[in-house]
Amino acid sequence: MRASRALRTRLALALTLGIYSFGGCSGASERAAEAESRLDVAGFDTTVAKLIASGVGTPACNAEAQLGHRTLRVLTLTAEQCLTCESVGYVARTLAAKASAEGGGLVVTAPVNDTSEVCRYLRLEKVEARVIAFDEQEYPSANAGQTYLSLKLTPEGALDSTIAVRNIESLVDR
Amino acid sequence: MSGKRIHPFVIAALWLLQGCLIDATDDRTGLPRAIAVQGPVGFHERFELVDTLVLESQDSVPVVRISGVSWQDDGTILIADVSEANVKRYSKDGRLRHVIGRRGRGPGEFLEPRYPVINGHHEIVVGEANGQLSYFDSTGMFVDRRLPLSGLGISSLSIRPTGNTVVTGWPTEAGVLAEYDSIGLELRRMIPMKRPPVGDSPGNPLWLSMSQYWQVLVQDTAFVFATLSDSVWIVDLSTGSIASHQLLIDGYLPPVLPERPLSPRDKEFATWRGSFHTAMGAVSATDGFVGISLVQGVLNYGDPALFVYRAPSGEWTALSAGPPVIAARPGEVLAIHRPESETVVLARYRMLAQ
Repeated sequence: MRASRALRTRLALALTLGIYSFGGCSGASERAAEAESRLDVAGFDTTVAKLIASGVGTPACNAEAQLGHRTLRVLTLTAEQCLTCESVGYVARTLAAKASAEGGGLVVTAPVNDTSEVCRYLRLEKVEARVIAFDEQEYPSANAGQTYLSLKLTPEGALDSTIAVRNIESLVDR
Repeated sequence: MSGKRIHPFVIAALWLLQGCLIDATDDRTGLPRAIAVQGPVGFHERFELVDTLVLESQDSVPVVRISGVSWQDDGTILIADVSEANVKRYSKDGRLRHVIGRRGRGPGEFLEPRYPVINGHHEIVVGEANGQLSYFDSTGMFVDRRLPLSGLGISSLSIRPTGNTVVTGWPTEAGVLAEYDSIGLELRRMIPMKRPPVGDSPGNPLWLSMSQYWQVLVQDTAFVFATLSDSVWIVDLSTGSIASHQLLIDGYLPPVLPERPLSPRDKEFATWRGSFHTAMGAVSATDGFVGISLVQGVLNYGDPALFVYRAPSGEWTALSAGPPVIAARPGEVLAIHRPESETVVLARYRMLAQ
């Protein structure tokens, strides 16, 4: 209850002062595009893929969503990214729709301490995704900053593709 | 001993000062600078539920985050959705008629649609925080886009009977209220506000980042509110006269800075943010009704709020324990019925005779 209230009150800032919060995550500029090409995910993508395939992560919400042997799209998020970027909900909904059209589903991974807020945010944003929590130690800091990581896993659990971006909106067209 | 002799004088001085502040009248309008607000009384003592309305929603066109509402006399409802970056037009029975715009930077696309209105040509005008105005015809087809070059941004939008556009923007010394002509040329700027009108350290950057202004029109009078204030600025657009009034609201929690510096990323920020009232979501009706929600959190999610309204008679009243009010028409308000439910259900309330 306390956590959900915290999220709601924090969302107030994003709702009221969108002009500021939007600028904090989008900035679809050439500079951002250039930065994307140099992002180093440092093996984080394969780590996430292995953790999902091995079932190490703890389902945090939407646990009833069966992962099964399906093509999965994976989006890594933190609470801070959800709370400071206006576009996260839209992009996550779009990725979930794409995954569904491919016969698969969307998995969102989050650090364990962030999952209550990430789950709450995704529910408010009407994103159909299973959220899996990872221990902070297993979840390298590569994702803690402004990097958004989108993975595609084969039905066998192998890593098919990785996209790492600074501007989350650029994931929509990938 | 001398202190005891001075004490009555201090009290007398304070009493006189208070009297000056509360009873003084504006030189031009003759209205009192401070306005006594009745209540708070329970919302349902003044409004009764008429009916509810389920907004049609499709998987491909969800209603996610309501950021602005326009409620027309014929029952048409325009809802701006800042998460989906579009505006949806509903008929009075809740059926989805048109989806207007989409996310993007091109013509007919939005980054942050927030303020839909219908102008005298039956065009749908949508304002965005970046100051951009997009025009669509009544079927949702894109017509035009204008970017007034004032740099003010848009934090609320109205259309005068003359067709001119009236907006409030972000804090600026030049004035937070602006009027543009039909082609987007700035005609005038009013209410200079370089710093937020807050009592506790108005120069603190934390306040600046949370400061926003709302305005609604009743004919040619603009009512302007600030997120961090319990005041209203009443602007007669035909004469240019401005009167500011503090609304004396029992239970209003003024903004006070946190004990230690906070940023929105701090855990304590949320608690602090909910410890005072923020004015959000002004509404008005053509009969002179004006309302503003003072929220401890987020209006859309049903957090504790006082709904302060001015009846057409001019009397101000505060209501507690009500639903989030998002629009008004003569004698009625539109509210979110259950703010946290998956399905968006709106409720129409009728004002009870007093």
